[in-house]
Amino acid sequence: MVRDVGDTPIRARSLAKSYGLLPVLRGIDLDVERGECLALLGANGAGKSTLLRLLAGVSRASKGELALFGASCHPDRPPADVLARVGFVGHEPLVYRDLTPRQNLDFFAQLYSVGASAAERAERIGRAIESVRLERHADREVRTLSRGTLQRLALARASLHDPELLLLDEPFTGLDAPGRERFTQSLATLHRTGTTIAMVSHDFTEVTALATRAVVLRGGRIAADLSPVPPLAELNEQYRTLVDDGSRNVGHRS
Amino acid sequence: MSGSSTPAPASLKPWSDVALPALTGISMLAAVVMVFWIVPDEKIQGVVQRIFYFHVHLAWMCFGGFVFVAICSAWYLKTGSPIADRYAEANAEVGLLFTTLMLWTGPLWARPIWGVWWTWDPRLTMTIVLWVIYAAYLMLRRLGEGDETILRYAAVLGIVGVLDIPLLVLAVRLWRGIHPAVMISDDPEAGLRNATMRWAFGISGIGLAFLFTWLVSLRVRFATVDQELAVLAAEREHR
Amino acid sequence: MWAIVRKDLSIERRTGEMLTSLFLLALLVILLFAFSLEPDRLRGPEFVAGLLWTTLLLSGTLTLNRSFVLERELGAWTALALAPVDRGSIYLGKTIANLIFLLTAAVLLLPLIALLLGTNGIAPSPLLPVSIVLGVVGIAAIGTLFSAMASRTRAREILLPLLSFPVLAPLLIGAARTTAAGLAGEELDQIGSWMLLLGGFDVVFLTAGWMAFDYVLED
Repeated sequence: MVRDVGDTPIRARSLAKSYGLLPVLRGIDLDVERGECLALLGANGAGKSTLLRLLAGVSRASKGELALFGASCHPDRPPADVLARVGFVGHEPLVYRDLTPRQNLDFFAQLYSVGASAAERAERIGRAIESVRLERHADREVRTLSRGTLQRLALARASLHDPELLLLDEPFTGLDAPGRERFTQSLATLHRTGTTIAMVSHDFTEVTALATRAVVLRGGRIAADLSPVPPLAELNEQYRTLVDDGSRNVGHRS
Repeated sequence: MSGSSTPAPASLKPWSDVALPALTGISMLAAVVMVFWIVPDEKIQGVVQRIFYFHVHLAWMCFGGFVFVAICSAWYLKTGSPIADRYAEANAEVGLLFTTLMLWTGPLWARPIWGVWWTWDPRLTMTIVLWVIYAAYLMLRRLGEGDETILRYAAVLGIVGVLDIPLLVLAVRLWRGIHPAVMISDDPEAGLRNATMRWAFGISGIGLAFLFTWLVSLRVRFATVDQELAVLAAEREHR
Repeated sequence: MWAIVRKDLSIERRTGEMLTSLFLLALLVILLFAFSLEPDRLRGPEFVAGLLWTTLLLSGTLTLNRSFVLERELGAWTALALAPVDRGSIYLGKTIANLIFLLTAAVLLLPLIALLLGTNGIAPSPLLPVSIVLGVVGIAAIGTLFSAMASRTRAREILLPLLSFPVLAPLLIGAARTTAAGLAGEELDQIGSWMLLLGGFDVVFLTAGWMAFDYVLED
């Protein structure tokens, strides 16, 4: 299928980032096409979270170029219409602890101009709450909710405005088995309905279940780009050679 | 980021390593000689008036320094250039040093002339408030430990600080205008009756201006070297 | 912008944190003044005005810290930064919410202080509310901007007053003077330039904050 470049959700060229003096990303070239579900893998400190945060616009790159949906987001600032097409789930749920999930969603719905009228907004929020099965907790204060519930609220918040690109930073951390199951299902639904997804994860079970492509980072560079994602055992094996072996034997591998 | 820049060669730079220190040394020496040995005593105030040959210039240079902080801060916010940030920091530090000197020489003069160490005269009040603003600016930078976000916040503060100066001038004028303070003429020009005095005043101004510039350039150099060292250390650790 | 104001107000409705702590702190400061200075000598419009503004400044800055701590707590700050809205209006929204808190406190405190110190010589003129609003706008403008900045650091409790007090100095001088004049029933022509100073301060720093927030709301 031939696609217009302007339609490519993510297009990064030599993207680099240093925190203070420490280089974390040393030049990333990455294209993510519409409909992909990309998993970013790598050891701690490989730069995967940093990359995701750059893509989301949470932090700014030090060098390189980044375009989302064809609009330059670095060195320029992401334009508002691009921000409106992106959703972000971070380590933290990014909500207010003294409000209820419904109030939180209502606030962010207003920021994203979701729904033309208050009634329509309420209806959209209702649907978002249903989609992550948060009905029972929708009117309790956020600070009383469990980690799993919070994570589902975070997903509801990030997908409330129907983003075309959804970015998730270790979404499965701290969830129990049923929690993971439910979260994976919600993500799978979003992916089926056309949302492009990029996520950082340690959980290969979920990665193999969801992702269409896996990118392994090592030392701030892309070490491997696996598409399609191999079955679990094989992915584990490949990952181990790339990451564990690689760090001990840099000379041989690169 | 200047992360990959090559270290500066160890050769002397004609302006900042030779000319600037030399000019500073000569003009400061000339100023000190003129002020302490050549100029005559001012008739009314006597020997303490000599402090004004330095004091007045210090004041202008502080203002200049703080305005420069704001300019470099705006430049930093626009471009993110680390050089701009270093210049802002250097100007704030040297400006604060000069403000401190001003607050120190002021009372030395005020005690014999006004009979008090301190009075809530508009200029004094303003100076002490400025001192706190820029001390807070430097404190914010210290707390940031090189975090780029904090550097950006410091730049915002550098601009806010300068916006505050005219309001501060207006406020202290209005404030002390209502209760007339113990004011003898604190305008030194009135006392500079002969040519020698004016020469001394001019030369000490030039000397202090060179001193300010030299200190700023040293401070920027220091920050640059510090940064390069830290980059080297970080790269070594990373390997 | 109004979404932010409503959000902050509904948080306040749920917790009551800001107003309660603002008011209690202010009350404490007043008591401290009475204990440390001879209360019988603190009479008349000048002292009432002076006490009102020192109290508001001290308790206001301490409380405004909360304003951005609650944005940081569960990372909502990041979500704000990513929202497709003008960051200047986020600043204005937060400022308006803080302004509402401070103004409520001021309205409660003024009669209280006047009552505690004795109402001799107090004959409020219409200038009084103007001076209070202009002064509180300035505190909110600077306090909101610096609270956002301070919330990033470890030492935020110290940093916020440290940054805002000196910058607020001209405002404090002006607000104390105009409020005293307003309490004593003076006319506008006696304090016209003071009012201009206050208004100028508000305009300068609301604009500065509105423009600077683009750089502040970013990690």
